[in-house]
Amino acid sequence: MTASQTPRRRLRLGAALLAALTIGIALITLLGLEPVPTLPPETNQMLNAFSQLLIQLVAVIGAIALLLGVLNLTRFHAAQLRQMPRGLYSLLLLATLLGVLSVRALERSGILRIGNDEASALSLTILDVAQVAVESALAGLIFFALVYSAARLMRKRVTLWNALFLAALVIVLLGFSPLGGTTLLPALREWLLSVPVNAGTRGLLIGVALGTVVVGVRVLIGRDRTFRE
Amino acid sequence: MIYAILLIALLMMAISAVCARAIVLRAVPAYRALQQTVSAAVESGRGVHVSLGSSALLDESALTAIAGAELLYQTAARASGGDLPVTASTSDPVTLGIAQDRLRRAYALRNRPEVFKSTLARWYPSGDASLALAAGVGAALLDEEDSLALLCGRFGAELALIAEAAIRYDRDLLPHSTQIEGQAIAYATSATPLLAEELFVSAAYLEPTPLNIGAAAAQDALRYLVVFALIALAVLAFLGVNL
Repeated sequence: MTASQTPRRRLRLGAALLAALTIGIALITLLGLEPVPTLPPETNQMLNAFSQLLIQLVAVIGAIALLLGVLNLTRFHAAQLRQMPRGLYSLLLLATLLGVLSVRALERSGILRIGNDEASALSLTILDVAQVAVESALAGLIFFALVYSAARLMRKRVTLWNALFLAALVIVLLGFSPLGGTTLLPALREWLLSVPVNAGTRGLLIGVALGTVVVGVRVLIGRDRTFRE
Repeated sequence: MIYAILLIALLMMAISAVCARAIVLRAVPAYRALQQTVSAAVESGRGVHVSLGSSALLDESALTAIAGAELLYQTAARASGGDLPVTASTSDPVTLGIAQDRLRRAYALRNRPEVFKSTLARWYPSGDASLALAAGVGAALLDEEDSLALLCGRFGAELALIAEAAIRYDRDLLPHSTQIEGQAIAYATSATPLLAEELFVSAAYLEPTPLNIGAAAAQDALRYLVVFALIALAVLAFLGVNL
């Protein structure tokens, strides 16, 4: 049985109530964030205040969800410990989690203090050294990863679009290098980035925006899966 | 303005849903590949991993997270009959809840609720480029004998690491991203990537009810409207008309 053959289910009272509640709250939030000029100012102010309150509530839920996320991570990796040697990575992760939490707790209680401001806190330094540096290095490698992937894709199947993709990548990459002081490649690179790449980027983003509009409408009319079954 | 756009979208969706039988959706190779690879995974007794990336319910990518969760449900509904469970990952803790819910529903649909465990959906901490998520998904693909990595949502440069792991260990890869960096990597690393807005019409291709087909047709119609408006504005600007 595939998802398309899902048997028709009876409408449950709970799901109907949830849908009604969600649609109502979504509409109020929308009206609060985007006031309708024809409504009285007092009504718009009231809707805005209510939508801000809802957004603040959501922020609190986000903080609680972070705790649930940490619990999920801990549970999963604690279960992985039974499968050695694969569980060594999980052991390392749990030890790091515990270590950083301990450092942060000691900092907050005033026992461990390096410097006078929050920026010099050891837990933040650990984050900067271990994560930010590696992420920056990764960002620098994207371009080479793209060229390598495109070449590998071409090895499997040569298409016009793949060839165009690879050619554009190589031109932009070479355009950044100081090859004998030539001005042609940098100029070509500039044109590529400002015209076709810019146009393509906008096209993709407009497409995503239209997709979100359609999904938004589905949520607003209560046709999201959460309310249906 | 936003109300006008929503109203137009709603009207188009309603009209298209009524005429759904007459509508032929354009071919999306990624969805055909998805059905084939999921079937192959089930038959070979291997798992499927769906990652929602950093799509988050509490920021501007909320609707991307909802669309990704729908694709997770559709995939899990097809793969939940297999020997190995379907797993999911996200770097947003609130989205973790919706991912768990969709997995639970998919297993309930197949009358296998006992297979569902909350740890089948996993949270990995986020960052600018979530290396933790990339490392976790890469490890999951290898450790859990997953044959397919479906990446749908907001991914940045970390998608390159996941794709590299998938290709190196001969896993099928169906990538997508709403970010430009991620979409570029998706295009370069897979023969059948999901492109930009294709994520939002998964239900129309995998569960073609009139409303789902109507939503996909409305999305396409809106796109053509935007294309027409852009061309018209460009022509007017070329003719020196000041708007």
